[in-house]
This record gives sequence, C-alpha cells and structure tokens, in this order.
Amino acid sequence: MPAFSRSELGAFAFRVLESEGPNAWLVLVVDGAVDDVARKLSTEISTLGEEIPTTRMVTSGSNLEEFTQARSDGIAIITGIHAFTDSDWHRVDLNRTRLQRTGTTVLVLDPTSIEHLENKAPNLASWIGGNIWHLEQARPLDGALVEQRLGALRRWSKLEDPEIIRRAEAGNLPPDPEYAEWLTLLGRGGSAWQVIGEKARIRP
Amino acid sequence: MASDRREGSDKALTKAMRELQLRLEQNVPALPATAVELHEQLGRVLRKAIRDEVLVNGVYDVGQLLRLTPASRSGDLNVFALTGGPKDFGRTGSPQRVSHFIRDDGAVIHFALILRERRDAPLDLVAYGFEIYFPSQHPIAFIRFDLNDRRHSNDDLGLRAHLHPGNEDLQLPSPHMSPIDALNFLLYRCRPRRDTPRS
Amino acid sequence: MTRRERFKQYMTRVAAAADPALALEQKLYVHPPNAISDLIVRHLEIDPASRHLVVGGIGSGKTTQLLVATRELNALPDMRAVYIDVSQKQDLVKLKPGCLVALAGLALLEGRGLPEGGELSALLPHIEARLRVDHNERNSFIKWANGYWIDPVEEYELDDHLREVEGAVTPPRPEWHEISSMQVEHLAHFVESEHSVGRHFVVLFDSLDRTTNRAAFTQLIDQDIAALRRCNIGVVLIGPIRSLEGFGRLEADRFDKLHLQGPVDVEQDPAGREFLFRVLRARVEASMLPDPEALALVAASGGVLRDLISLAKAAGDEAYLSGSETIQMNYVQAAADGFGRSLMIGLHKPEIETLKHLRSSGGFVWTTEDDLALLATRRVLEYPRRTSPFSVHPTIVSLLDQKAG
Repeated sequence: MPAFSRSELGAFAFRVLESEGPNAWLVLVVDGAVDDVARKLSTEISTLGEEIPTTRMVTSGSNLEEFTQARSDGIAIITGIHAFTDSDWHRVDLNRTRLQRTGTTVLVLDPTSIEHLENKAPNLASWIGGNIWHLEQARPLDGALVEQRLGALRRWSKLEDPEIIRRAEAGNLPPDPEYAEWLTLLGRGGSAWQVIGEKARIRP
Repeated sequence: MASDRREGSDKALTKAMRELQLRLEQNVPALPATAVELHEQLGRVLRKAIRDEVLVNGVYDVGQLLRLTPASRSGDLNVFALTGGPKDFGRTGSPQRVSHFIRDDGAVIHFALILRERRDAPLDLVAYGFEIYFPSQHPIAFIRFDLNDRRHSNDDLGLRAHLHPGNEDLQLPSPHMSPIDALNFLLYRCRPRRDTPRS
Repeated sequence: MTRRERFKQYMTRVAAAADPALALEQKLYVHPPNAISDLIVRHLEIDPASRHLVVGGIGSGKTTQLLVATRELNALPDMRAVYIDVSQKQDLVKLKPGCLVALAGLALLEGRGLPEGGELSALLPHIEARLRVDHNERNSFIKWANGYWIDPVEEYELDDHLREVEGAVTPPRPEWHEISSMQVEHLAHFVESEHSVGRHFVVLFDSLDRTTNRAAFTQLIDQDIAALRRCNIGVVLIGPIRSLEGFGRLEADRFDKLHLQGPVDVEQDPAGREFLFRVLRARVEASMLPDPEALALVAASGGVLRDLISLAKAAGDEAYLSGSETIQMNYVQAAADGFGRSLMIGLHKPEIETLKHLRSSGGFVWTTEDDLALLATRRVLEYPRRTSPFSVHPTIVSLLDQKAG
C-alpha cells in the first residue's frame, strides 16, 4: 500500500487552524504515543491561533456521538479511537449525521485504526476525503544542504576545512559564529573550545 | 606619550566593555532543555508570522528552511546547528520563497544557532547569527545580531554579543538575545519608523 | 483582500462535509442535467401517493436532490412535503418496523412546512388542517411514536396482556403486522385532514442508505412503506445500493419508481463534465482556480460530487500552505495524490488484485461482499450508461500503476 501523505506537526496544526468549516474533519496518523502527540498538537494550535482546542479521549462510538452533540463549535482533538470495536465503527457510520459539528474535528489515531475507519466507516471516510496525514519528524539538513553551507563558508573565508580544524586545535580560530557553525557541520562539535578540549582528551 | 595614554584608555574601555557584556548576559530567559524543543519554538514563531502575514512564505517553507542538524560525526551528540534559511553571504537581490524567509516588505531573514545540550541544565547557546537584509538597501543594507563563540583570553573586547549595523567591520554592543526574542524582533520590528521629523 | 482572506473565503465555499442544506442556502447549488429531483417531483405531481426509491454511491448528491425535491414540492399549492433525516431522529442501529410511520406522523402533526412570513391567507389551510385532527387521536399517536412511562400495574390493566385464542376463521393480517394498526389508522385520518384542505402529504426519508442490517431494512420496507401507502402518503426514500442486486431487488420492487443517483460520467459525458465544472465555478472564480485546473479537478473526482468539492478544498489547502496566490496544476495533482492514497488505506492484496484487473481489462463482477465493499467505499465507481459500467476511481489509478511497477 502506498504511504500516506506526510506532515510535520507544526504544518498540520496550521492546516487544522486554516480549515474553514463547517464540519471539517482531519486525521493525523501517529506511529507512537497518540496522547502525547494530541497534547503537542493542542499546544501548536493554541500558540498559532486565538483558540484553545478541546481534547477528548473517547471510549466508544456512542461516546463520540455524545461529545459531538454536546460540543459542536471550536476545534476538537479526539483520541481513544483505537478502542473502537466493529460495532462502534458500524454505529458511527450509520449515525454519521449526529457527528456533524460546526467546528473542525481532528482524529489522532494509529495506523490500524485508520484502516478500520476507511473499511468500516465509508460514510465518515467520505467526509474526511484526502485529509489523512502521517506524522513525520522534522528533518535535519541533508548531505547536499550541508555541503551548500560549507561551500558558502569556504568561499566567504577563503579557507578550507583542514585549516579551520588546525586553527581550532591551536586555539586561534576567530570567535565569529560562522566558525562555530563550520565546526558543527564538519561534525567536530560546535565550539572551538570544544575542539581544543577533544584534543586534550585524546592526548593524555 | 599619546600612544601610552591611548593604550591606557583602551584598556580601561575594554574593562568597561567586558563588565557591560557581563551585565548584558544576565536576565536572558532560560532556554529549553533540548535542541528539539527550541527548534519547535522557533517553528511556531515562524508559522505565526506566516499566519499574521508578516512573512510571505507558505507554511511548508518552514519545514524546508528551518532545520536542526546534529554534529554527529565526531560522536558529540550534544551539539546541534539550528539553521533558518540558507547561508546567505551574498544577500541576493532576488530572493525566492522556497529558499528564503521573506518579510512582507521584501526584507530577508536568515539565522544559524549552535547549541549544546547539557545534563540537568538548559541549552547552552554556543553562538548565533540572526540577520535581516534589505535587497532594496533601504533603510539599510543589513542588520545582524551575532553571539560569538566564548573567549577566555585577552582578545576578548567585551563584544561577544554584538550588532552589525549594515557593515561587517563595525560592531556595537548588543544584549544577549534569546533566540525567540531575536527572531520576533527581526520579524515584527526592525522596520523604518514613520516618515516624520524627530522632535 | 489579503491572500489569507481570499483563501479563507474559498475554503468556506468548498466545505465538503458541510450540511448540504447550507449549499442551497448559500446559493452554491447548481442544478444537474436530468436531475432526479425533477423526475421525482414530476411523478409525485401525477401520483402524490407514489413510492420512490433513490439509490446511489456515497457523496453522489442524493441528500441535495432530496432537499431540492422537498423545496420544489412545497412550492406547489397542493403539496406538503417534509424532509426527514432518519438518523437524526432514530438510532439506525435499532431500526424496527413502525419507525417511518411514526416519523411521518410526527412530522405531519408538527406542522412542518408552514410557510414563513407569508400572507395569512396562505397559512389558513395549514391551520384548518390542524383543527380537523382529532385531539385524542393526535395524543395517542404522539405517545405511541415517542414512547412513554407506564406503571406496571397500569400496563397489566391494559387489554394487551390478554391472550388471544384463534377462531376457526382467521382473517388476513395487514402487511404492517408489527405496527399498531390503530396508529396507522390514526395517521390515515391525519392525512385525510390534509386532503380535505386540498393538500397531499409527501415524506422524503434520508440516511437509510447507510443501513447494513439487511433484515431490519427489509422489514422496514415491507411494513412501513406498505402502511404509508395505506395512508396515501407519498414516499421518497434513499436506500442502500445493495437494494439493486440479488435478494435486494425485492426491496426495490416495493417501490413504484427506482432512481439511480450515480457519479457523473466525466470521461464520456460532456454535459456531465460541464455540469461539474459549473459546480466549481459557482464557488470559485477563474482568477483563483483557472479553467485547466478546474477541469483537472473534475477529472480527478470521477464524477462524485462530494469528492470534487473535497479535492477542490485540498488543492486550495496545498496552494495556501505553499504560499501561492492561486491554485496551480501541481497543487491539484498533490490533492489528487493525497486523495488516492487515502482511498488505498486498508486495501488488502485480493482487493488490489481486483482493482488492477478492473483497471487493465475493465472487468468487474459484483458478486461478493468484498466487491460490494469496493463499490460502497468508492474505490470502484459505477457508470450505468456505459457498456462496461465499472471503473477504478481516477485518483487511485496511478497508485495502482505504481504498485504494478
């Protein structure tokens, strides 16, 4: 099966905030701790926007119905879906209209639960459409981007990597932050003083 | 002799500047414990700026341009480079959204921080550079807040934290900025005042 | 207007899961060619007590057509029509005979369909009809429909606890044998009071298409539809797509007319393509969504109305999150890709093989529950007018091809 669309948490939170309703539904699929991600998502949304989302753990289909009937407006982050049985899925799909809200609803769930949703609740899935995202972690600079930055540093300083390291070890590298970054990208620690320190450790 | 007097004045000034630097280091808000947390906080600042339409970038650009990279080769897993935008010494005259953080007035912001995680202590800010430049050269070519790597030698002129006012060779003393404050300042302030005469 | 404001406005107009009634209120509705609402209204004009079954895939626009039909019927001077979303009133898990009779009666007695802000002369027939309803019958019906609390002693004193001894002659029982005959008669009297002021009563039932309990649905159709017919109430009902095949055909045969609300054939029907293009244009201008991009969305939707709106919103999201001023082709493609990936979630090897086979040969025979599931979940779309009516949803075609690679 092809991978889901992926999103970092911050971008997803932005997407949630900008999803004008009524009755917008989004799903965030998480490999790890669902509740932890739900909390972080709530923090992201609160920081970006003016409202604090409601986070709710549901235990069953009827519990979800009760919540949506009681709290129709605002952003709602729902967890606990992993506990749904077949009859819960059946129920939420049959009574889909009762889940209708004016605000935006986000389901945070695990990969197994999203499969159940797509297969057992096709009417609810139709509301969600393609709004299913797999949480991805932030990416570090890849090799090409590191090399871009190092190239820029070399051109700026008119020096090469071995000279930088030599000067750091000798303790006479200038203190400009560019050199600290250079050492870090070379994987030599961030500070010239650390490099000296490493050398001191290596040489007893 | 004049040169001796000048040297004496210079030493006294260096002492004063070092003391000023110590004062400026104080009362800086504590950083979070991990580089990941700071990365998340800066991401939120940038996304909020996009939502406020202070940055003209799309939110996807934040994930592209804001990166946290460990210095892993040496085995020192506690040091990180947190970079925002490219290494932009050239200060391009035609920046693109996909590669630069661009303000609503056309100014470009880029930054790099070197961080070290410590056990049972907040992050150590090893060095940073936060720069805004104006392709139109108005009101100034660029402003950059730098925090130098630490020095414990007579070379320390008390300018570890300093500001470049549009010139690489001029340095003015600056407070130690928390990364959040520095970024917010470049995003929302650092703009010409209204065009009225000073009173 | 800032970029953010423009996109916010756009998002509001492409809210795919919004209540369909909202689209009508906001005048975003575009009337399709050969709309089933037109057919239904024309038939009911001639035979106001006729029974209509509407069948169609998820997101095909059935609810909207029912709402439009309700509006059109209420515009006729001799009609009173009521739209009822059964799932709002009744837990569909607990469907039982009498449910539709009860809902129809309650709607009639509540006086829905009273014109708002009209002339007093227009209101008079409604008021008169109400006055002709017997008070005791009304209370009895409402009590029966809504349920009530009873003292067990009181219950014992009712005749219901008596045991019946069959006689030598057993008259045929009515088709609605599990529904109180007395209440059905009450409902018939209520309808007569409408007729006496020159109006026919029609009920349009929605959301029963989601029923998967065959036995419960069949009982409902057997008994409730028959009872409503006895009361001379016109009925339009959205039923499950299984009503069309195998034993399900028995359900369709209970109705006078079957209406298919399928996806629009965007590949082979230029008028259909044009219709969906106009659906988009009613919501967004070309300056934001140029014509080629709009047509690409139409193609990607496979003709399923809700999917079209959902894709349009997703493309708008992508454009906005990317910092773009307009919705360009790469954002449409990203939206289609994301939509297709969501449709592929949960598919197992045999289903993927079925889809690949359909993709390569056009062959699909609806025989098993798994095949029905592929139709019900929109991975397979049916275009009844084609020689080979079944087709893989356009957004998963390239993903299947990737898997083949």
